[in-house]
Amino acid sequence: MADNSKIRKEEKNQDPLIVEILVRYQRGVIILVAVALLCSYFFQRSFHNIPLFRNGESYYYLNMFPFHLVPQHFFAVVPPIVGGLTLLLFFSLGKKLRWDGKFTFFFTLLLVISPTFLSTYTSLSGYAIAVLLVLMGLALFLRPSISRYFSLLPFLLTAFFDVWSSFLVLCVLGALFLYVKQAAHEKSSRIFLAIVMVFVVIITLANVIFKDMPFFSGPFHLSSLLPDLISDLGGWSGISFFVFILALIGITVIWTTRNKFISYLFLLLLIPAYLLSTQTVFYLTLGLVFFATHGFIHLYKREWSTQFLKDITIWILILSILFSTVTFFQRTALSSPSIDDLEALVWIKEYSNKDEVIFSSPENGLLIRYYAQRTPFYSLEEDDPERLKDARTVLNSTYTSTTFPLLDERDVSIIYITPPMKKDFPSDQGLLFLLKNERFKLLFEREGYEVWLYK
Amino acid sequence: MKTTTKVLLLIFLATLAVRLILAFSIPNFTYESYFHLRQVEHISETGLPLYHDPLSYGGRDLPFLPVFHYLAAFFDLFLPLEFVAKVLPNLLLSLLTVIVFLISRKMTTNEAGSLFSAGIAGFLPILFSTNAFLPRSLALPLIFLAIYSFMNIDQEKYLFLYIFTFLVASFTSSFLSLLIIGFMIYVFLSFIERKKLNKAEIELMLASLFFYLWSQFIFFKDVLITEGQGFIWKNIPSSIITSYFPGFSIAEALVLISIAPLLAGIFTCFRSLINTKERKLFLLLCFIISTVLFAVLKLIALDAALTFIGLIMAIVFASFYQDMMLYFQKTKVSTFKNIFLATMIMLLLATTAYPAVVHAFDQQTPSDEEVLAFKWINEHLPAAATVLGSVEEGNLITYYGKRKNAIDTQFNLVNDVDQRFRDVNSLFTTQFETHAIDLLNKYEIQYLLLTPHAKEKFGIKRFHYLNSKCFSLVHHDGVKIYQSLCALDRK
Repeated sequence: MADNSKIRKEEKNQDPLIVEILVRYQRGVIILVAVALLCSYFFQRSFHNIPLFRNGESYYYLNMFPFHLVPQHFFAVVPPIVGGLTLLLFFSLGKKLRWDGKFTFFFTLLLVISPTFLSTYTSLSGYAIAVLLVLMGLALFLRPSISRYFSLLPFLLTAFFDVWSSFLVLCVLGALFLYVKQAAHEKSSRIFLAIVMVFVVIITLANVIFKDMPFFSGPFHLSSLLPDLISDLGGWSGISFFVFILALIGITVIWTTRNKFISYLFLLLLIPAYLLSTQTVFYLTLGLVFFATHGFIHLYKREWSTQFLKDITIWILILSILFSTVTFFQRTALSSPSIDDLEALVWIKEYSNKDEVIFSSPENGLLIRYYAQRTPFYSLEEDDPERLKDARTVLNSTYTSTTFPLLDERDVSIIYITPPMKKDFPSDQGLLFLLKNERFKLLFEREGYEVWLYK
Repeated sequence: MKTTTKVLLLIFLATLAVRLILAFSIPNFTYESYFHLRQVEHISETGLPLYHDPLSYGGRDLPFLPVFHYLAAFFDLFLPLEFVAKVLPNLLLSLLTVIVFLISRKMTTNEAGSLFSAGIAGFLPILFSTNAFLPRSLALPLIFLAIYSFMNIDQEKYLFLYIFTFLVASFTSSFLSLLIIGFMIYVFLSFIERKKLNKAEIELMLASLFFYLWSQFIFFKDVLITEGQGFIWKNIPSSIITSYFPGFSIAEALVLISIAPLLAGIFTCFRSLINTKERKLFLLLCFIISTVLFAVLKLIALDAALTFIGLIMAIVFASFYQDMMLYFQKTKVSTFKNIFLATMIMLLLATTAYPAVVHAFDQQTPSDEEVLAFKWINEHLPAAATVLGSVEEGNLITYYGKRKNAIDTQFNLVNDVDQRFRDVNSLFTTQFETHAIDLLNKYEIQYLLLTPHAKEKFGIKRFHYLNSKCFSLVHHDGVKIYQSLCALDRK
């Protein structure tokens, strides 16, 4: 974690009063900011009468039994509560481990205003729960009483999400094992940790073998390496470009500190995982924000040759990061599914037979399952390369001899077209062009959302 | 007045005079200039840039950096716009001679060499688009002034000059990214070479990076979100992107940067790569490396890259000249120094001034006849009409014709730009009437324009699908304008 000695050594000048107050009351301030952001997101969606959860992972869980029986807005309280609890546990952990107050403040601040935090804690996210469980486990484990052994339960529960989460938990437990070795006197803690690690491995293996648990959960949206990491490039999560630059500065700054190897080790694990699945951006964000905090504190504490230049730079940084957050918030607060999306899907539910298969873009699969209660041709999270290939062929092929057999083979009778599909695929090629064929009949049309019958 | 000052003034005046003579002897402006002229006109009338253009592509949002347009609009208050548009860019680019002189002198302390550099910068062929009215003409002097200030950062007045020039340049042109990337390469290479960087330099580079990114985010937020990393390529249709970002051609570079300063620059750079303790030259070298790298990776337009490299090579020439004079002093050939100097001047004139003038005459500008046709559109066609022209002529349709166009050279934030580009080209080349009418209906185009430029570009003499029932000729004076009368029944 934060190299306190290094930070303290650089503390030469007095902080402005506002920073001192914010750092002193950081727990209240940060939780207030987080809850305000998350709640205003849901209020905005509610005010515009659109579904509270945006298209993605939330619908994966909402489609599960028995969650799909419960109205969606009942679950809207879950993400802010998870977010608030996570922050509380983080602060309590910071206090216990005596992390530098300024570090925890800037870390949580950069995290809370990051697009990843907004997107994760405004949806039902497996990774958010996994992080909460790890923090719970740590908080319990660091207690002096017998209750520390209750940490077994949260640690074990983290092995139910995906292999990658289990692996990261093992890494955290490994780090803890080393920490205990240095700090604690009792042998029992190490034995306990070893047992927990063994159990995590066993449960993970059992889940993989018997429940087909994936290595990475998802994908729940079409992956795109850069935009998924840097939200300013149009992604649905990630961090601000400025935080990314701060993280780069932080990476160079940490080189001179004691704890550099453990920090770099985590980064070396997180980057390849992100390259394999951008779904893991939440974990990578935690790592990058850690480095960005070091970068920011370095710039903030450094004595500049021109104070005026330092003030400008710090202000620009703050404004830019806030600008990215506000932009992301505006963009996502009203994102899909829209009210027209909903009307089209409900129309399908009401006017089609229960056994009908709906063809649409793979990203719409979860929405089709949840709102139309029909089977999609292919849904993104199914992660079946063969069927994904078929879906792509149908979307892109202009030849009836290619498209029609594929639709017939899967008994597709309804085609659901959305404005993003019209934007992504040219109208003079592929499926959108084939809709001119006499075998397709337009059944429903509203604001660019179309339902076609395929005979 | 010192002799050096007099010679520098002479170089500046000669550059300006030649540029202005060429600008006024070549009719009209380059095609892209009309977009900027229209913005200046709008600022003069309303005080605000036209960020939502109701005519371009039939109506669209278009963010751009406005400082250059405001500067031109200021002069437009008391001078005719077309006069301002010819004089202002040429005046600004001529100022580069002075800035290049200052940088060269700072780097070498050799006044004669610096004067040569100024002369090369003044007559750099790639910069001789005398009829182009583009923000780059303000951005370039600002960027080089920023470089000069950066080299003098130990003096407080230059710190403020740097901040001012950088701030203005940030809101003038994205061309400034080359400076930022150059700084990053400078830091990286210094780190590798274990050269200790000046603390003030690091801070200034950091501040510049954050300020530049912030300024671009403010203006191009929507472009970034919509186009992602593709914003680098400005949403240019894939079929013409190679003409905007072509491969790096040595032959082209030799002509456009001019052979003598280029070779001298390459020689000096190689020498400095091997052994240099001169930080300023090292900084310039980093700018060259970053620009070449980005041009090779097709991340910046070739003309932008060549312009930047050309100017830096002009500066580096002073160092070459200084080294050469030192070398002569040490050898027996020093008696031939004057002959050598005369030869060098002749060589530079032949390889810079002559290609520069040729380059100026090669500029693509519309003829007077074509401009008259665009003006005719304004006077005779209905105000809500959409007119078809080639992609370059789109800006003239909106500027002179004051009518909607189907396409122009500002591609950012346009949906399905590839499809539209293909369709517009099809309208010039298709043989089939139904296909043409279908496309005309699709883009709600009522008038078709066929200029000599379009004929040459598409290799046609007329639209192949014309018939008297569906198309009527409404203007014929070298440029033909047809009205489309039919619509396809989609039942």
